[in-house]
Amino acid sequence: MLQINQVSITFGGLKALENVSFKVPDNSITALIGPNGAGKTTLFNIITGFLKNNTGQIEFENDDITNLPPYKIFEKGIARTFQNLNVIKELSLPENLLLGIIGKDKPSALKSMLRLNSSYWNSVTERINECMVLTGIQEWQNKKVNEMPYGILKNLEMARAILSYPKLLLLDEPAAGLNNNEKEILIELVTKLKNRGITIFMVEHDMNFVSTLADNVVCLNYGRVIAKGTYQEIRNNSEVIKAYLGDTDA
Amino acid sequence: MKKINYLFLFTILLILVLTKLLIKNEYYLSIVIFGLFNAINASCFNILLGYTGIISLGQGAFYGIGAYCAVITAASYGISPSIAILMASFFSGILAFVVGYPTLRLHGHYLAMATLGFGMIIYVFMNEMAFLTGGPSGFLDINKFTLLGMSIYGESEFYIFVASMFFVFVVMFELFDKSFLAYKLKFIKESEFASKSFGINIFRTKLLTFSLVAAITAFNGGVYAYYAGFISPVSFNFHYSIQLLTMAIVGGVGSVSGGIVGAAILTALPEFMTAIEDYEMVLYGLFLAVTIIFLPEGLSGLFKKIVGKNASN
Repeated sequence: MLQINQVSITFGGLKALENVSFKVPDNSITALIGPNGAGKTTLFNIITGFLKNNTGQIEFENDDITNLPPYKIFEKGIARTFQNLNVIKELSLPENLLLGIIGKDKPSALKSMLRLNSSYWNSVTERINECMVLTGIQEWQNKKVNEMPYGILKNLEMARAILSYPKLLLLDEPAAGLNNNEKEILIELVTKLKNRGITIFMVEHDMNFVSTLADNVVCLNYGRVIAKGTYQEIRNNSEVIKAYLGDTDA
Repeated sequence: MKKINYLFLFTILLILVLTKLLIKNEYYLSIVIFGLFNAINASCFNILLGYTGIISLGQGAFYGIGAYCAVITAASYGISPSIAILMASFFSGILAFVVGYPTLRLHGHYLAMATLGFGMIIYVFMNEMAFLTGGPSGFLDINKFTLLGMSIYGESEFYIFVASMFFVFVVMFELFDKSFLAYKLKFIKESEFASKSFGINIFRTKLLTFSLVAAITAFNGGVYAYYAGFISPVSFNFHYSIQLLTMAIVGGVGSVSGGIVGAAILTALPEFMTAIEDYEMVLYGLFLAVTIIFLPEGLSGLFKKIVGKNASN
């Protein structure tokens, strides 16, 4: 589904990514792991068009999406969540979810102003309600966003992305800051999404989370892919152990 | 879908009708008319700042472009004032598109500086191109305003016309506020990063909003020129843009009523404080500071809170 070919980017003299290549297979869960500063979020930002790579190519469903602007990449069917929450505190929870729908459906502003699409609004309300139930946030719909716990806000971001019916969902550290109970719920949700045919590509530090969910794991260190394979293959890889624990010979 | 606030629209209509019935003094009626022009401009400013996050200090210039273009076109080519106003509005929209194309890539202070620069250029142009604009002395040769063959002249007739125009604008603003478009703009204002990730073409949306708002402001400027019967660059300078900013913030950004409340207060206030006219800008600064610190949602936000609290009690 997603193919990264020889992608490199430098910031000044720093090589943030160097000839990174791997594939995210269709209808799978792929985890991107690596120590802090390995280049994981940088790669996410390149895939979603927020950064321009110096060399290399990114293909999505055999289409070259390299250096397309973010909104065009979204139109191809790639949605994402953020490492730092990007919710709008002024708006209610259902209103926040509208972002996923407006961006995808692009409803006519004039029809909306003249109230000529009330049946569409009703379908939007239904979709939002359904998605709130799926992500377990429906009880919070009447609360202010700034009164919500972190875990609910994470699910809000997830719900917003799901509402755009993505083919590929990029999750940037979805389990960060969640307690064990919230992680269990998240694992259930991500599994449900995979079963609905959504391909998941996530950056994650929590290895229990990764081992439970990921079909494939790619490990980055200092901007280079040092290992890829199943979780079992990765956990026994000496390069990965060295990257996380340091050189034991030292 | 958010419900249309019919009570608000009815209240506005009632105030407009009562004003016509109760105010017989032409001077006071003229202040109300100026207040309505300001309310439209401040609301337009509010759409830019409160909804989209665009801080434009060149709105006074678009108001002036509308005024000058309408009267110059009508005087030079003998066309009907209403057609001339529409042409001026269209021209201003196109000009805003051209100006916005490079400037709307900027954010925050940089965008404010760029639009301020544009406003200054237009102000100098109005002053220096005396053969066209009349220079600092202003433009006097303004015909009577006609609409569909009817001449509109005098405070009372103009009040009916401007009040109707204002009410149509408020209805459109209310419809906009309850539409997808308002949400789209608010998403852009609050998080460009998230909006881009969710398929919104930020630049195109900002550019179209900026152009449309400039066209409405210019239309308002055209009508203003025919009402005032005389225009000069001073009416459209940097001070006027700052006044609009103050009206929007004091009234409350991001709401339909904000610009209207701000315009009502800041149009009426100088009439009662003529003795300290020289300190007008200081007062505006003070209003801005007090509102930003103590009333971030402006006076309309405060009013809504009080009404909401009483309703819950």
